[in-house]
Amino acid sequence: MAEAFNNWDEIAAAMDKAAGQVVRKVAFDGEANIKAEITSQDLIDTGFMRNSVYVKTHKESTYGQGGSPPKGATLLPEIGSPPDDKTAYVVSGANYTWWLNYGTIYIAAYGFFEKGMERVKPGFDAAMAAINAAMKRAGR
Amino acid sequence: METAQAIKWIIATAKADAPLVAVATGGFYETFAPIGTTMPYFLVVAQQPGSDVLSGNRTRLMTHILLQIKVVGFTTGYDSLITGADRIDALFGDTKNVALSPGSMIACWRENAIAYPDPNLVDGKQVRHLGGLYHIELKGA
Repeated sequence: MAEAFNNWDEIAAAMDKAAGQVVRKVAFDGEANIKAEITSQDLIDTGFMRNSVYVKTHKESTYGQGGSPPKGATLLPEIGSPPDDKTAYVVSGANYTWWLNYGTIYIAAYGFFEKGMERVKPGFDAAMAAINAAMKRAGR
Repeated sequence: METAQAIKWIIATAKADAPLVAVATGGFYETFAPIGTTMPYFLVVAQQPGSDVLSGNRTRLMTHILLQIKVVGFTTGYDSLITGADRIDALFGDTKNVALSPGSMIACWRENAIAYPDPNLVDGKQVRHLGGLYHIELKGA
């Protein structure tokens, strides 16, 4: 007598958990890269914009760690939670970030958000490739 | 240089589009328009100047470039800005395989829309930015 069996449920659960961990790490790396870009492009006056950049994952948030806004600026409300653990948001809480990142009629765009997030792409690809490789090894 | 090639192609393509030229009466600019430029105007900015894709032996296969392409003008002329942004999207929203000299523009698509008010007033009037972030894959020389 033979009985068919497989481990698809366990594999799917492990894959799901690992992908969520990758997303979380990429989000926090992105936050760090954006802050580093703001610093390297010498965009710090009070430091509020830099420190207001935060990560919101399905279960955690670093919102509100940027201190008090300087005169004339505001801290935007916290963004809602992402729909699942494979989604994370990297956000700026300072109301004037948009104008520095995308430019105004008097300020050229600095693009620190896009430059910072671009640098996490290789890490994301490598992490997902590592998961793929681990699954292949396990399947042998 | 791929980023410069991409911007040159964007501006040349935009300037060849009669409806967009009719909207962007202030002109077509890269990175920054001179202060006092007549509105509305067309602006392209290298938001993320480029990341290369290399082969195993480090030959550059192509470059990913993220450009901000938009029209800037008074809120009182917002309908005109919408026309301009629509033309930008028609030209660059889903374009493939355009020969350049040297190389080629492999693909261009919009990643995000952009719409925001400028914090500054000009002649007491509010100014708006309308367009998008466009991803370009370009093969240079």
